[in-house]
Amino acid sequence: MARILLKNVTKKFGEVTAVKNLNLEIKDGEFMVLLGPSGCGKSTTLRMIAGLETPTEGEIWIGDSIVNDVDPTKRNVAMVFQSYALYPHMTVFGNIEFPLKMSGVPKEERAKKVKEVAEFLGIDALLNRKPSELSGGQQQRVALARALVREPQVFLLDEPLSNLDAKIRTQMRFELKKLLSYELGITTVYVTHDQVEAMTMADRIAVMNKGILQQVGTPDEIFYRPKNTFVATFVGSPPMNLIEGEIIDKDGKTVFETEHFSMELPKDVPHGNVILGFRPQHVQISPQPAEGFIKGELLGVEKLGVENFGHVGYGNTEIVIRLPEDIKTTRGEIYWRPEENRIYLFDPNTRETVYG
Amino acid sequence: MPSFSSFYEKSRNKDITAGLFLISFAVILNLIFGYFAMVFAFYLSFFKWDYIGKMQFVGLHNYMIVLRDLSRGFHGYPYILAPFYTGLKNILIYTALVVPIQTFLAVTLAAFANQKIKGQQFFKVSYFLPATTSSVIVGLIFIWLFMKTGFINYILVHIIPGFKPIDWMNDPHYLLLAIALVAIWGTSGHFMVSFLAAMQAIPKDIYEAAMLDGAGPIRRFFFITIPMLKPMITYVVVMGLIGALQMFDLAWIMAGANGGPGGAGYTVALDIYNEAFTRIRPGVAAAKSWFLFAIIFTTTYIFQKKYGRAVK
Amino acid sequence: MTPKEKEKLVKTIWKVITYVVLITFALVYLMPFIRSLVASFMTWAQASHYPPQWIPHPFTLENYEKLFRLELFPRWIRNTALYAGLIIAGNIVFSSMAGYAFARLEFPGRDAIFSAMLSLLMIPMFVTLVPNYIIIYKLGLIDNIFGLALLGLVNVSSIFLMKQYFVSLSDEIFEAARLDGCGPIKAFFYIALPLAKPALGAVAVYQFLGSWNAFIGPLIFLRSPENFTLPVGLSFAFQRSMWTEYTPIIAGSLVASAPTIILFLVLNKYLIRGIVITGGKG
Repeated sequence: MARILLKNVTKKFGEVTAVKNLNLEIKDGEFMVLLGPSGCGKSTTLRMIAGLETPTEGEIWIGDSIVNDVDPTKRNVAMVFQSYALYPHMTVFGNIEFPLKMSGVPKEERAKKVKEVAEFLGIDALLNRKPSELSGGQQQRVALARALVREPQVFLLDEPLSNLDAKIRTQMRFELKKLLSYELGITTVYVTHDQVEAMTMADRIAVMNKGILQQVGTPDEIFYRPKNTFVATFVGSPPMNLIEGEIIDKDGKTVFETEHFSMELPKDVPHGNVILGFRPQHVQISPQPAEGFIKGELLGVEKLGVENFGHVGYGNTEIVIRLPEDIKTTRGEIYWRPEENRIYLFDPNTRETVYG
Repeated sequence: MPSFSSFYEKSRNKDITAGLFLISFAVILNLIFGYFAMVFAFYLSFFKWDYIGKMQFVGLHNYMIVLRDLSRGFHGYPYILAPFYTGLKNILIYTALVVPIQTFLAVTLAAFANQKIKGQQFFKVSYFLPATTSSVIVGLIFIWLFMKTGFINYILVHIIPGFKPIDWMNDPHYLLLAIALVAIWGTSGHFMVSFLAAMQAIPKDIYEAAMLDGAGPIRRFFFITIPMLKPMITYVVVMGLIGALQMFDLAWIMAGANGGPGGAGYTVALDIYNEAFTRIRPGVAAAKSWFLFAIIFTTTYIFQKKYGRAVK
Repeated sequence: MTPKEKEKLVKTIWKVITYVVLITFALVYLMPFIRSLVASFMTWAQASHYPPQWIPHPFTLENYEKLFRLELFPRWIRNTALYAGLIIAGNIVFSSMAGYAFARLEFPGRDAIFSAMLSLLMIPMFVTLVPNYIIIYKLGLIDNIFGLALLGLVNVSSIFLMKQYFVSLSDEIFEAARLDGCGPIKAFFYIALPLAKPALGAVAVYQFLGSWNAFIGPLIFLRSPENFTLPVGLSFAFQRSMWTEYTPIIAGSLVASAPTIILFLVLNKYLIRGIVITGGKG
């Protein structure tokens, strides 16, 4: 059983709290992504699992044992670093062989295993080269090979795609997931700030901000049922629109009132001051005035080929709405309304979701 | 567009003239005292001269003098009759002592200092201090410390049981060792600082990857640190070899121009000096300096070849 | 003992060993200076006493008096300072010019000439010593500080240092200057030189260290005792037994080492960093 359990884990560096009271379980064979902006504590968490940092408080379990005091040299955890951390003075063969050498595997068996893994990852032609002679993608594969050759129980990756060109990145996203989840079924913890990577690769995502776990869930859950405004706006591109306003009863209807417009809402929503949220993709557009549609002034349009996003301004707030592919206008009046069952309401003080 | 291209040409010419002018003094000076001197040294080695009169062509005679000296020494003749051989023997022993010890000491001390310790700058400064002084001055101080009633004997008597004070400066068995110890004292600190900087330049995540690969601190030192220090080690050893084989200052001051008792402290450099300025045989001195050059070249070349190959 | 406690104990023992080793060697490297400093204020009777003594008793300045009473000693200081001054000046002026040209200008043979210069560093000094002596002798500049200085006036390592520095400056400043109508020489004076202060400082310091402590050159190229530099002079005083005791020699050694030691202590952060950068990337 190679599940990972983090129990009330806190990590402080002097005065700074990097990770605060984290409780997280990663199931055996699961591909868990730690997602968040820089400085949110995701890398620190990963390093604590590896043993490169020790928790200030709390327990870290791998399998059935607490590993807080277990030396990183003995945890049977493999890690691919952001910089790959390949040994520059050794050949590719030497790099991949190294962990086997350290655990005392005899020479012939080492050579066999190294060749196996290298063939598996398609780098067997590069075994005699030095890391400095390889491309970024090749170096990453060597780092993967070195991590895989030990048959670890846990696989950790720290922003492994950030140093690659955009095109290779897209390809590698799928290859990594295929390799680690589908082919090998290894418990994997993957750290990234890129929400696209998280959404496409994860079995579950743990969203973190400023050391605090915001939400854990499947990509669907994170996307469609965010727990607070942070998660709601971090995932999804362009980010969810947030508008402050008040929900009151008016003329027998339940209405969301702002300075600039009113919007009718279903009767079962909570009343009072709220933040209304909806994604740019979840709006209906009409070029003409229509019942229930809100009037807005188009400030400009971003044309992205298949999708176009229009920016509509209301005073200090600007919202982004997706426009149909064939829309002709770039300025002028536009009428829109959010899809009724894709609306979110957040408490303006706690920023937590109260509806949606 | 003739005016444009001639403007461009002019500016290129400006660069060329300026460039040649700016380097002229530096290059000429170094050409004369470097390359010309070398060529002249080669030329001189085939002549007999006393600096004043005419130069007398003697062919390979000077080189024969050296070879005869070497063969005499090889057959056990005393230092008086085989000075070059004595100097060569001594300098090789000296180099074999100094270079490995100062390199090994510097690496070890740097490894100790490359941890989270307080006072790293203090250590760097104290270790480097000897290198900021003149070797002759250092030699003078150590002559006093090495006296029979001096500080070094005092320390050794107290840490080695049964140690009897040695008259380092006058004992032919120990003079060379004394000189070697002073040399190691003077240079190992400098190299330690260089090694420390090189160690600190190794990226941290390579050590972390090695940790996760199961390498404990000792194995990390031998599999990661030392191999990654190869360029610096090569530099330190090569510089060490070049310096040790030509050593003059310490021998001059601690052993004297004639190398002390029985020539125990006589070196090739001293011999070349004597040849040129005491025996007034600059041709022979030139020939001997080419022998020295050959020895330096061969040892550094062999080292770079072997060490460059032997990294597993 | 639990494994965790055992690990902690091992770590503590290792720390103790580390400090013991480092401090012991710090003492080894510093002890000759400490001993000399202490002994320079002692009489020779006390300084040569066994077991060694640490407190001067009586505390005396007679060694320093003897040094400066000897007419030659202040002359040696002056000569060494003059020599160092010439070397520093020459190196700063000429290696900044050459370094700038090699780094920033294009002219035929530039790289070949520079490589040829660099290869000179590989030649052992003894090969060129006698021929250089002959050249200086034929120029009538033997026993003359200026003759001696001529040899080291533009050190190849200074040229190298300046070139590396000028290469590291951004191209854009020089391109902007060119567009403003600056020719190469003007660019040298108005742009390159003002920006080169750190590198010039480094050259000055290294050349000071090298020239103040130089021995073989001054020994061979200076002949009369009045013209000696400090290292040669002190060695001469020792070999001629100018004082019957040894303590004035010790005092003289300290005086001779003081400028370089003080300079090093003041600048140690920069010096160590600089030596590390220039002194060997393999």
